[in-house]
Amino acid sequence: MNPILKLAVPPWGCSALALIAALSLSNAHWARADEFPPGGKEPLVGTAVPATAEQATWQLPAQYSRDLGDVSILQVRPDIYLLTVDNQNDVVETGWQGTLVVGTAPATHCEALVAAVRAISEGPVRYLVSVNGDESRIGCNTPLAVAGRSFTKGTLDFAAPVISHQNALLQLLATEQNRPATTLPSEIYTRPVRSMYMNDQAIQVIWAPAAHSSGDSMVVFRRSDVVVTGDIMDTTRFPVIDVAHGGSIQGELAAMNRLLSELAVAVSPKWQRPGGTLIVPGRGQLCNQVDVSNYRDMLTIIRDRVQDLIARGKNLEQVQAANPARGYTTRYGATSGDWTTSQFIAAVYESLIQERRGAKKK
Amino acid sequence: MNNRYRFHCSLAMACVALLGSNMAFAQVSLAGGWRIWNQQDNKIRAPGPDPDSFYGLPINEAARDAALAYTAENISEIDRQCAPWPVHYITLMPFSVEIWPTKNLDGTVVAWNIGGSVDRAPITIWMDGRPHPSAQAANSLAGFTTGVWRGDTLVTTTTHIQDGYVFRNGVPSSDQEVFTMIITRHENWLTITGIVHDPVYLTAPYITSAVFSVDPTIIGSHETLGATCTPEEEVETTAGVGVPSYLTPPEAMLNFATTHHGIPQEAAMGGEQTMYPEFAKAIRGSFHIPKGYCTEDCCGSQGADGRSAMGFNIAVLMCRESNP
Repeated sequence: MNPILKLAVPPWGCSALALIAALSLSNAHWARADEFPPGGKEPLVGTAVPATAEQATWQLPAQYSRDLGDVSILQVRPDIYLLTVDNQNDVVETGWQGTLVVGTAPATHCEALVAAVRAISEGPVRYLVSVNGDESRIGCNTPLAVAGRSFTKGTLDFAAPVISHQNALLQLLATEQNRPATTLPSEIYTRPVRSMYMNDQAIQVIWAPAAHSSGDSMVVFRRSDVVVTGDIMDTTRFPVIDVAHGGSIQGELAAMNRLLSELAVAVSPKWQRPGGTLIVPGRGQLCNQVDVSNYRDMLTIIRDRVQDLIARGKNLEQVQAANPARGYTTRYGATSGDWTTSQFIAAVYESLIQERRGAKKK
Repeated sequence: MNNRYRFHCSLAMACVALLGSNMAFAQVSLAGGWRIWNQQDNKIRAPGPDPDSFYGLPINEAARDAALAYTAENISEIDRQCAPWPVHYITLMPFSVEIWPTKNLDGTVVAWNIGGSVDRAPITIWMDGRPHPSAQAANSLAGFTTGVWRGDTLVTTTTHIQDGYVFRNGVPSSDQEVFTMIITRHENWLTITGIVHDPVYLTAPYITSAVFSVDPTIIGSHETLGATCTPEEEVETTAGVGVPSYLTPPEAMLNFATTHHGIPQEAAMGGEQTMYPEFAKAIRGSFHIPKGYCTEDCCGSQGADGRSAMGFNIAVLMCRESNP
């Protein structure tokens, strides 16, 4: 026994100390579990077996979602929730200072979304982040902003401000001028990163230029180690590249490479274990570095093929006929619906042609 | 419904329930070290399949296209170096395994664990009836596995598997894959049969198996301990420089199986039809053994003691180089 301990603790005391320590740890565990969501409600998600069994394996605890109306809620970290509405992912971060919501649902699902955010936390919604200027990403801004409470009184009284890149605001204004003020981004940023500190963690809203559109933002929760990509990444299909609003394949790849090189960290040096940074894509399941790597590789390979065909003088029709998405069509492609493989290839082709024209002008 | 019929129905249901109950609780201990016998599909599991050899694989066109664009440099990407092969590698790998239970304090088995190998993640088979995670939950290369006893056979189901590869020559697997293991112990022998169901890349289930024998010395060996992995720059892939792949498959790669083994191209390119004996009969006339081709004991087989799996791999590689 440690000689200092020997002085302070009688021989029978070690067992008692161990018991007290075990009880304290046990209490600490449950105290943490009770913290989320704040407000004394039952945790939304629990594990089905004792923690000891989980710890005896290499697996992360299984994640089970709970459906609340149209919204599926999955707790991904103690303070971070993934909300899936109409196949679209949004994120709620919550803590003692209130709630931050990244992305909102299409306007048809607002009631369910507000109820889901309330179920997670009764604390005030402090901020909304619009990941781009798409209609589907701002549909419930107004009900959430009005239900929220800003830290300071502003031009919209205490409505929660909406953060976005300036280009997202410009896109929204260009498509419809008579929107409610609470729907539009009210805290725009033009620098590469907009940082804040809330709920004891650094939160960074990072501009991803010319990716899905010209106004994309990724949101990084640094303490929670979660990155929200918005529509830059979509594991259910090829990414929607909105060339008309400034999207490009090169911007997509730049964003994916940034994710891989700076933001998404795998468990290392010990391999074989799951874990590491969690990535929330715009649609599809929760991801980690391996998924990002797969998606980046797919995009790079298809870009390389289209670029090669363009360099050989092929027009769009000939590029489509060469099937540059071969190998990935059954995984990410579609022949019908709102984003087909042909549309994706056309967007890749168009953005690469635009880039060549721009390079020639320079 | 008359009373007699009702009685017989009830009796039958009771019998089924009792039988099911017995089946559910029948258990065989799987614990211990298990030495792999690399005698089945040796070429696939040990040295690895040739670059254009997809015969016997029920792949679709997309899978074939993806495999023909694949280069092994892909796994040298810094982001991939430490990623293990997906869970189905358990029946395609050349490595031994260690298996042990995780128990509750009352002694009931909560999970069976199949330890990792050099390049395969450990598998946890949950036995407590827990549901599989939600669709939105994160996937991993080990996936999420549950198991039930069917008599003395453990049948497992794995979901939530990340996109990966079925074969080491780039035949892909998708996140829609469901992997089934049928684990049977016959005294000192263990057979793991794996069934890959992948609607994205396969047109039929792909079935393989691996045979192991009891060997306590395997516990804690280099094969079963796994390894630490620190990624280092091996190929120039960072910051958008590029991702290794073939824009067009090289001619030598497309004809590898034909040139080296005389296997007709239509067989080498795989597909569901190549799994069946009828296909072998149909192409018999187009199969020509290359001149001077070794047909018996060419590169050795499993070591005489059945133990030298790793050394054997190297021997085969050297042999292949000297006898292309």
